[in-house]
Amino acid sequence: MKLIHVFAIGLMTVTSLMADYTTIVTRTTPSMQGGKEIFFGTVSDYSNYVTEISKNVAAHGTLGAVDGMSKGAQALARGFYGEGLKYAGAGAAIGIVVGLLDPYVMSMYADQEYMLVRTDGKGELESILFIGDKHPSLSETQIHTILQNK
Amino acid sequence: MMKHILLVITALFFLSGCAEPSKQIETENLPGVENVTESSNHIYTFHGSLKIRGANAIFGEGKPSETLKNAMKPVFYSIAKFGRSKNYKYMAVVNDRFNNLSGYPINSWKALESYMKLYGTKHYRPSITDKGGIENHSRAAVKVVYFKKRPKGLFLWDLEQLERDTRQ
Repeated sequence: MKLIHVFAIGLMTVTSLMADYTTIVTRTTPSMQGGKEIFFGTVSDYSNYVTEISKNVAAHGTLGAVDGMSKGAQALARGFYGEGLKYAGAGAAIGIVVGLLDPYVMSMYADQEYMLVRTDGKGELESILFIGDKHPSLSETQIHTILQNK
Repeated sequence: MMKHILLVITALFFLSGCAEPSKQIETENLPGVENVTESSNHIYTFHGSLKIRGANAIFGEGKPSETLKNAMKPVFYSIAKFGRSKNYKYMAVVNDRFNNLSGYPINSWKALESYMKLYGTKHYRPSITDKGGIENHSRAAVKVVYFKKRPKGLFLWDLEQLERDTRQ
């Protein structure tokens, strides 16, 4: 290994250690504890999938055929409703209002926003939010590992 | 329970198409807010602001996040107080990117504070006043929808807890 490679690896390690981030754990109800991971990805993807599922539910009065939904939304729907996609009142159904609101006037923002969502299988959720700074030096795999250990 | 959620969705969906103008809400007993409006689809918008002048307008009150927090706290207190006065127990923030109804998970003042410690908002912009001074006018406009019951699986804010956490 050349000296330049050692230097590059060292620099990457240092910048990785310098990454500024925080994690925030929230639950839909305080009594919800842990559970099965049903989603890991960007907050934006999660919102899009929830909205997609919500529109499907609103259009059919129940969860309708999921073939028309994106793969991500289908996977999340399976997380919410189980493998058989049996509509069991798992919530996450009001995203339909998105897009109907007035232009936003306040929004929080971060350069890297990821979330890991777990369910207790009874319709309650736990989210671990990752907020990273504008010089992202953590990979998605690293972020996933951080959140899994929270 | 799910039917209840769907009714709420449907109501919001259809009412949003109505042309009825927003109603102004009396703010006499709501500290820290300039005005509150209720839209035809029952979305309440709470407007608050905080003006800081001099050096703090550039450097913030310690940090930009402190300035933002000071602008936000009374607004969230008023959101909780107003909702509770109408016998609501929960609320969802429905601002564009920060939308609990599309899954945004921050649902307590403590969690919001953690967020603000690392990040401010795009609204932290000092400007020159008419008299040549420096001013930072932080604005908070928070849109909320209230609930009497908590549908499962949504990250909603508990109003009683929020009022406790934001009381000054």
